[in-house]
Amino acid sequence: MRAFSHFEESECIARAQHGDVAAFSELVARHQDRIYRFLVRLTRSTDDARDLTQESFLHAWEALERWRPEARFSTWLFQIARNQALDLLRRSKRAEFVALEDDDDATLPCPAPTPEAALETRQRFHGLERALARLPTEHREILLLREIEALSYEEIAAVLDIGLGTVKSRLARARAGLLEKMPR
Amino acid sequence: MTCPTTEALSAYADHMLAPTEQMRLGQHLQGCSACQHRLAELAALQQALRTLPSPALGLDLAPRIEGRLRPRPQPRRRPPPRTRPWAGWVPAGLAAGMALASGVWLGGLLLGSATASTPPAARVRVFDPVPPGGLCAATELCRPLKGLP
Repeated sequence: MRAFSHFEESECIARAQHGDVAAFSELVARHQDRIYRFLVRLTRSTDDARDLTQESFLHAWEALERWRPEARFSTWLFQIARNQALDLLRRSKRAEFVALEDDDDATLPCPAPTPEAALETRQRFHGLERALARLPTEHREILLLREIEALSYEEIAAVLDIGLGTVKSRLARARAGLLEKMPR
Repeated sequence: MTCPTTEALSAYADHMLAPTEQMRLGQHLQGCSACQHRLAELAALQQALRTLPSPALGLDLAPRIEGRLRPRPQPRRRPPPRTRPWAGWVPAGLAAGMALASGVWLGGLLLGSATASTPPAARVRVFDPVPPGGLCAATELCRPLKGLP
C-alpha cells in the first residue's frame, strides 16, 4: 500500500510542492498510465513513450510551483507530456508508423468468446490503431485527448494552447480524417 | 434547415452547440436520413476509440525517478526585523541608559576642548529644555542647580 494512496490529490500536490518525494511518487503512480497511453499513440513508439513519460514527470517536479489549482493536475501533465513529445517528433522528423504493431500481443489484450471473434476484434483494433497512426500529429493528438482521455473542450484548449473555436473545427476535421482512413 | 456542416455535426455529437442550435439541428436530424447516417458514423467512431485497449506501461515508474528528483527549494522565510546588534542580549532598561550616556558623551564632544575644564553641569545645559537665549516659563525649573556656577 503506497503511503499516500488514501490522500486527496490536492494534498499530495501541496506536499510535493514542499519537496515531499513520497507525495510526488503517489502522483506519478496515479497518472503514469494515462500519460504513457497518450504518449505511445502520439509518438507511435513504446520506447520513446516510456522515456518521455519519465521525462514528463521529472519536468513536472521541477515546475511544480507553477501549477495552479484552477486547472486539473492531469490537464497540466498532458500539457507537459505533449510538449515533450512534439519536441522529440520535431527533432527526429518521424513520419513512419513504427513499434506499436510489434507489441500487439502485449499491448492489445483482447477477450472474446471464440478465437474467430477474437481475431476479428483484434483486426478491428489494429485497423483503428493504424488509421490513427497515419493521421497528421495535430489531428491525432486532439482525438486522443477527446475520445480516449475524455478531456473537455476547455481542457483541450488549454493543453493545445488554442481557442475553443479551433478545438471544434480541428476535432471535426480529425474525425472526418480518421473516418476516411478507417478500413471498410 | 439545410444539412449541417461537418463541424456543426461534430459539435452536436459532443453537445457543444449553443442550446438553440443544438435544438434546431436535433429537429433537422429527425427528418434527414443522410445526416442521421453521418451522426451514426461519428458515434461509432467515438465508441470504437473509447474501447481501444490501453497500451500498458508495465512497470512502476516512481522508484525509477525518485533518485533523479532534485531537492525542491524551500519556501523563502521572511527575514527577522532589523534591530541594533546588541539589543538582542542587553536588557531594555540598561539599553536605554546606555543610549542616554552615549548621547551625553557625544554632546561633550560637540562642545569641543573648551569644555574640558567646564563643570559637568554646563555640558548638561546643552540639553536644557529652554534653548540658549530663550525665556523660561518656570524659573524654578531653570534656576541653576545648587553648587553649579
